[in-house]
This record gives sequence, structure tokens and C-alpha cells, in this order.
Amino acid sequence: MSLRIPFTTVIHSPSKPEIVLANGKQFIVINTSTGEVVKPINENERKQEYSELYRIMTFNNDGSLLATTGDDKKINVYDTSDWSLKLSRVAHKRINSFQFNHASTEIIIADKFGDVYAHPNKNQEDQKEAEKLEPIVGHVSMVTDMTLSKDEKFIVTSDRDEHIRVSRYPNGYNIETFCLGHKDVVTYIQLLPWNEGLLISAGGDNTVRVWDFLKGKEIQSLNIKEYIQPYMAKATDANSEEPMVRKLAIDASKNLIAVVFAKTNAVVLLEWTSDNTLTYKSTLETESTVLDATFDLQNRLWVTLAPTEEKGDLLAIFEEKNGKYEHLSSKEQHVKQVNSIETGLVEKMPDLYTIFGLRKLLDLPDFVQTPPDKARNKNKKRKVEETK
Amino acid sequence: MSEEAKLPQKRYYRQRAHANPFSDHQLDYPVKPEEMDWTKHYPQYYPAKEGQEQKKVEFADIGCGYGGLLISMAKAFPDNLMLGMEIRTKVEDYVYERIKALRVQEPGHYQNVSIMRMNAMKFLPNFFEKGQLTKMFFLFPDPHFKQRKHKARIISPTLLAEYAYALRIGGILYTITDVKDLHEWMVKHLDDHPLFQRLSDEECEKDPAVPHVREATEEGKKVARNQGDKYLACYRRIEDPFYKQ
Repeated sequence: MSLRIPFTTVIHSPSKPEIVLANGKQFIVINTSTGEVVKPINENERKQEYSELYRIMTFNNDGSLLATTGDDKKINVYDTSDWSLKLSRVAHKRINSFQFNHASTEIIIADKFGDVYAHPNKNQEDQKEAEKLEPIVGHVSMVTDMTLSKDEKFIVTSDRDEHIRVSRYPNGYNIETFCLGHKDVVTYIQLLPWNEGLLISAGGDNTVRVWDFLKGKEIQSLNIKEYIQPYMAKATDANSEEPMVRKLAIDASKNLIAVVFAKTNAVVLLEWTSDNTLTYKSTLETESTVLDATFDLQNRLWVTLAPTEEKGDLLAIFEEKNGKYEHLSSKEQHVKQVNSIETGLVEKMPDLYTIFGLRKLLDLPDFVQTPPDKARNKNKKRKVEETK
Repeated sequence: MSEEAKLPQKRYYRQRAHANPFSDHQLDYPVKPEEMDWTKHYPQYYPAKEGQEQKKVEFADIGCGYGGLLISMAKAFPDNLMLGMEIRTKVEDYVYERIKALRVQEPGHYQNVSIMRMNAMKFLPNFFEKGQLTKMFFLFPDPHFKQRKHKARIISPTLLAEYAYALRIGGILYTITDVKDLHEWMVKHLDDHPLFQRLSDEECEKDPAVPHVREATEEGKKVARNQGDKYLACYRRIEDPFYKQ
């Protein structure tokens, strides 16, 4: 029995009413105004051995190019006018975050090993060229996300050890400051589009924080646990007991932020008020667990889902009505249309929420033998204490 | 002599030389330097006495082992606070007990030195503010001989950026090892890093910390007993040359 592969990642074009949906070994493009499929799944390759080849995707600033990367370490760049493949490069390690620079001459990548590289936006001449690239910034632990500052004079990187580091760019060896405050892995960082001197961050510690990142100063920390707790799936191990933010989807025109969590039946909406504070707005419930979300150009929120039933919806659309966001009915033309799209098929569904593994609660060391005459108390692990 | 003042015996605190810096060792660390409680380490200095500026840790011995350098530097630099960082539990316990005993045996002394169990590779920015340190010591570090272990070496391009962040401009970074290959590795990476400039041999000899670096550690004494070579390299933290164009 073949199962439909859900849309594990979704991203909206900055310029056209189009979203790109990752679907295992392929991706699908839908027009968000009409609900029509712009680029469908390749019919011949529907049945797949699951592999996330489009785990991460990014548009360049004018939306003319889309870069994708996934399990195969390849960086593919597509021309968004016809979705043809323009070029392909190979990275050293699997990439966790990447972006085009403003001029679209480079693709800056941050990998699982903790290094940041600037790949030229052109075909690799040969294997040697790839090996010559030197890291610009290096973290000891895995880099989870990355962003350049608006003026591209700084680069901000987040890691598994709760650090947000601000380094000069391209002289990344010169660290400007750190934004320290998070108490668990930081999974997502982004500049606030309405004030690009501010950085927003989130991860595993139940907070969404705002920083004046050049000063390393925390402006606000908003605890969001109570808003999502009732919608969490049952924990399968210590790592999945607490909520884990996967992404923040931002709507610049309405100053809204949708907080996407791993394995929850809801998305939390926050808004940036006129007194420059992040506040809770509402929680949007979904019929099955959420994978990803993005706003379209008409301020609708598109949420991708991981249904447990064979015929469950893969997409939910939320629209604003009288100041509140409401779930469009599955029976609505638009919603029905996008949910009947042909997707890739797989025999066995893999674990779609490996992000919980970024926590370190399962890596406790063995008991250490103490020497005689010892009366001192052992240091307790900070994290275990906090989650109890 | 009281229980507290008895010096600990090394044989109860032996632990294997290699520890994996990438695994998470049940460490305690503050979220940021401002939240660190230093009163337990330097009770005579924290909080600062009225009218006096708060002294902060300025010398850091990364991978301080059995504390030889710190104990010998404590009296030579009585006005500076210094901290040893050691990831191995038993070894850190030994140094802790040693400092505790010395503070009782010699009142007024050794109040400026302390030790912490810490992974300096991961959590240095949690403890030290930008430009806080004036000296950083890397004495006889673990060579991690295998190629695949090179990222675990305490001197690497990744880590040098963090050391440059913690070290004040003009501050000195000291390295010494008896493993020529490791010395060449460290020198190459430090030479390549734009924020570090090597001190000449003359400048090294004039530096008052250098004799301690050479002689004071247990590892250093072992090397001398075996008549091995010691390779010293010292670097000054300089301004970023990127902007001098």
C-alpha cells in the first residue's frame, strides 16, 4: 500500500504568487492565487525510496532563482521562470541553512559540521575547486541556521549549543559579539523585515527572543509554551517532551509571525505591535501534525501537514476574516484543488520529526567513579533539572 | 594539620589523558558571562569591596591538567585573577582540593587562582566577555594524532576566532608542546589567523610568564626528565588588518 509523501518544507516566492513544496525526491510548485499546479511531480518517478533531496530551499532576493539542497549534499539552482536547472554544485557536508547574497553572485552555506562557506553561484569547474573553498566561520558544534545582515557586513550563525554568534563578513574570523540567552538548541534565526537591526530567534527552550544583534543585547523574550502545550503529540523519548520550534514564518505586510513547531496539531500566531513588542495573537488548530508553513502574497497562511489517515489533507489554508485567522474548509474549491495534487508515493513513511534529535538529553555519559575522601556534591546537569 | 589543609595525593586523581570534547559531559555553565557567580571561586574578590573596581579573570589556562602553571603563577602575579579549565573530572577535583588546601596553609595567598570543570572548546563565550582576558595558555595540549581527530585539537581555525574574541588586543596567547608535529600545526594556524601575530624569540624570553610556561607544569617536568624538546610559540592579539586598506 503506497502512502502519499507529505510536503516536508514549503517556501513562498518573494515576487510571484507561487509556493514551492518539497516532496521527497522532487518538488512541486503551486500558484497561490489560483491553486493551479505550475510544476507537477514527474509521473514516472512517483513511487520512491524516500530521500529528502529538497530539505532546504531558498529564493534569491528578486525571486528569479531558487536554490535547493538535501540529503545528497548537492546545491541545485533553478530558473524560476521555467523551473529549469541552471547549475549544480556539491558541498562538503550536508547543509543546514543557506542563502544567496544580495547580488546573487554567491550562495553562502552553513553545514552540519559547523562551517560556513561562500560558494560562487556557478557550476563547479572540477572537484579541486570545491576542495579549495575555505570556511568563513566555524562553530565547534553544528550550525543550525544562518543569516547575513542587511548590509552584508555581518553574518549571524546559531548552533546546537545555544549560541548565536555575530561575526564580521567576509572576515568571519573576527567575532563581533554573541547573543546569549537561549537555554536549548537554537533552530531558527531571521532578521525582522520591518526592522532589520533586530534579529528574532527560537528553538528548543520555549521562547521566541528578539535581539539588537550588533550589540548582543536581548530586547525581549516571549515564553510560548502555554500556547502550544495542549497541541503537542505524545513524547516518544526525553528529547521530544518539550516543544521544539522548527521555523518562524513571517508576514512582513501585517507584522505577523507564525511559529511552526515539530509534531504539533497547531501553529501559534504572534504579532509585532505598534509599541515594538512581540505578543501572542492566537493559536491555529490543524487536523493533523504540522510540518511547515508560509504566508502568501495575500496574507493567507499555508500549512503543510502529516496526516495519519490515507486520505487526510496535506495542506491547510488559513485566511484572515474580521481580524482573526480562520481555517478554510476542506470543502472549499481552492483547498480541495491543492489537496488533490498528485504527490510522490512511498511504502513506509520515515520519521518526519528528527529535529527533536538536536536536543542532547539522550547523550548522558556513564557514571564517573569518585576517589576516596570525597564529600563534594556532583554537579547536576542543568537541562535535566529544568525539564523536570 | 586540619583535614581541609592536607594536600591531595595525585594517585587518587589519575584519569586517562584523552577526553572527547564533543560529547556533553554534564557541565554547569552560565547562559552568559553577566550571570556567572564568581563568588565561589574568588571569595576575596567577589563582590568587589566598596570603592574598588571589580577585578575579573584575566588569565585562562585551557586544559590546565594538574594545575602546575596556575599554582606557580598565582604568587608571581598576585594582582591578577586566573582560572584553569579542565574537562576531566578527577583531574579537576585534584586541583580544586589543592587550591583549597593552599589557601588554608598560606592565608592571603592563592585567593586569585581557581579551577573549573569546563569544555573550553564549546563554552568559552559563556564565561568571558569580549576582550576580557590578557593571557591564554595552551600547555602541552592533546595532540589528537589521527587526521580525523584534527577538528578536536584545541588550536584550530574555528577556535582561534573564539580565543581572539575573549583576548584583549595586546593580550598574549602561549603555546608549548613536546610534539613537533603539533607545534607546527599550531604555528601554521596561528600564523594564518589574521588576528594573531607571533612574538619574536627575544620578546618571548622577556615575557615574565614564559619561564612558568616552560617549567611549572607536570607535563613540562616530565618532558625535561625524558630530555625531550619543548617547542614554545607565543602570539599577540592584534587589530583586524582587514580594515587597513
